[in-house]
Amino acid sequence: MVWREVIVEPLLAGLATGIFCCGTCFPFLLPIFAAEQRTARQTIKVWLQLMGGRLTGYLLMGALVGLLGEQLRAAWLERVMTAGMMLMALVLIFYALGFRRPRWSFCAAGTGRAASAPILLGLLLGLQACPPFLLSVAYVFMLHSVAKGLVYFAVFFGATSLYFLPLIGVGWLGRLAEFRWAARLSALGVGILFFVYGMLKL
Amino acid sequence: MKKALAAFFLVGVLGLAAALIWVREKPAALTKVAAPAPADTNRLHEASWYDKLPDGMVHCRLCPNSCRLPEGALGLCRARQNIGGTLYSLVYGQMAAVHVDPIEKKPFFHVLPGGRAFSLATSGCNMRCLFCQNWEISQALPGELQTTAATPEEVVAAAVRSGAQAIAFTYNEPTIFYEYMLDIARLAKARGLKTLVISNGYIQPEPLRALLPHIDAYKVDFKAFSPQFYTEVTGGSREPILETMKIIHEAGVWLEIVNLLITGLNDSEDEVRELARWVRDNLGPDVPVHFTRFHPLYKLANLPPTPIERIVRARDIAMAEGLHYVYTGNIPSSPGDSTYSPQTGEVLIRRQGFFVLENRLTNGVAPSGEVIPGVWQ
Repeated sequence: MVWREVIVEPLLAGLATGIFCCGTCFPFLLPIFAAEQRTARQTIKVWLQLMGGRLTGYLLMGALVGLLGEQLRAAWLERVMTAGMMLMALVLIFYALGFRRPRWSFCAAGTGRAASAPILLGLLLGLQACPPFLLSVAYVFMLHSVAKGLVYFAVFFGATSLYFLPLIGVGWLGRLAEFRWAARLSALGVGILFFVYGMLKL
Repeated sequence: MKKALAAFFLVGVLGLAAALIWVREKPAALTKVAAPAPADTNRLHEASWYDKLPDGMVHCRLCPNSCRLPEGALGLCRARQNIGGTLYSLVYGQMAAVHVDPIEKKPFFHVLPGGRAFSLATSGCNMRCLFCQNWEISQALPGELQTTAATPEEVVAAAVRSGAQAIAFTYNEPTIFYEYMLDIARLAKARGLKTLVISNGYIQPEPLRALLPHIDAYKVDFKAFSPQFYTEVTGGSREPILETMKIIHEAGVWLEIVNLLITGLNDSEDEVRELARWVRDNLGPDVPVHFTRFHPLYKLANLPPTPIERIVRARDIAMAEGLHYVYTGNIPSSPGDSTYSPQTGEVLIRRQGFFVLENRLTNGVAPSGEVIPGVWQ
């Protein structure tokens, strides 16, 4: 029965609710994919970096929920997530500004490029409480096991990631200068929007 | 053209971001709508057995789920909600099912043989058994089912009118409508009705002890002797239920145990033997145990029905372990339907399914003078 709890159920839940993940994450991800001119191989690498960061975020949150269980207070969780969202907005702002002034770019020391932004952004996205994620948190509470929680989140991540595959296609837009410019502007706009929103919430 | 598409991209992404913020704020607004307004909370019944915590949270101490609920959240039972830092019962006075049944259907075989029980349920349950027979009501949220509003006074009056000798809290888990059950039980006892609880036994000791003085008989639906089965198939845990059975027995309230046997999951001879030994050693040999047959239902609809010989074999094992009253259920015309004298082996109550064909007891006393334990009058 365990395989059904931690494999089949998160797989079906992920497939059923993954579209909501896109709604939550795409405002942050679309600019990243269209903002730079990349080869297909480079685009896939960015996609993998983002997904790797997101998986890490999922597993961290899975372990946290499993460990703290009932002690987890909704009010604390909300504050932590709001702070995470503001950090995510800052990453996006620095990422956008990095194209104009390379020395400002996030994690750009030594490379002059915003190479680590996708990983960090993925990690922070993985920690965000989108509706499918909260659904999983509620279910993992009932599993009474950190190990099961981790497996559950890993499988859930895999299923929802299928919906992120079209982002690789968006990378093609980065070949056009007009889209790169629009993507950078939108990264800046989205970053400012969410940073202000986070400030108001805190 | 490219510029227009790029501008569309820019507007689209920013629009998506704005929509996301709007959606994030929307649930809070919805919560305010969903939570009953002050006028509505006046109609709700405040729950018992809970503590108020900082940040508007509450801690429900009614059952071992021990839910800690933030503002607006429902308990795992789906029947209790934190509204404005106060825990309310959402099902008080809302009957989701009501029938007059033979008492044997509960099953109680040592309680008013041939009698009838006015049986009622609300929605909700504190477990999530994959084989639940009443999942339509036990797993429903308040509002998902059409319910009948009835005060405790109205329920007891209806029970008296029906000619039933008892009121049974059954079909879903009565613990989750504890306050309603307690109020009805108090009134029912005053009107001379017996009170019967048909429960999974998943309740904390303190509220259980407060309830027992108002209850005549308690049936515990014991799911399996394996703790793993409890965790994986029911969402509950075994130890609190063993404790519940001890408390009921020690309080002198009549107790019967039902064990639904699901082939391949909880019907091994070792597990049946362990259960029988535990009952014998902790509750005594006079506590009746019913082994009932599983029929494919709910989330275990893919499993076969338990073979009849497994049920019969379970009864043989439990009898061999020294239990005096072991019954079989959900199988046609079985010797396990009837009550026998532990001393002579003669039939004292002959049953076919739920129906009593012959009752040779007089107020629980056999023609030989042997006293059979139970609630007989």
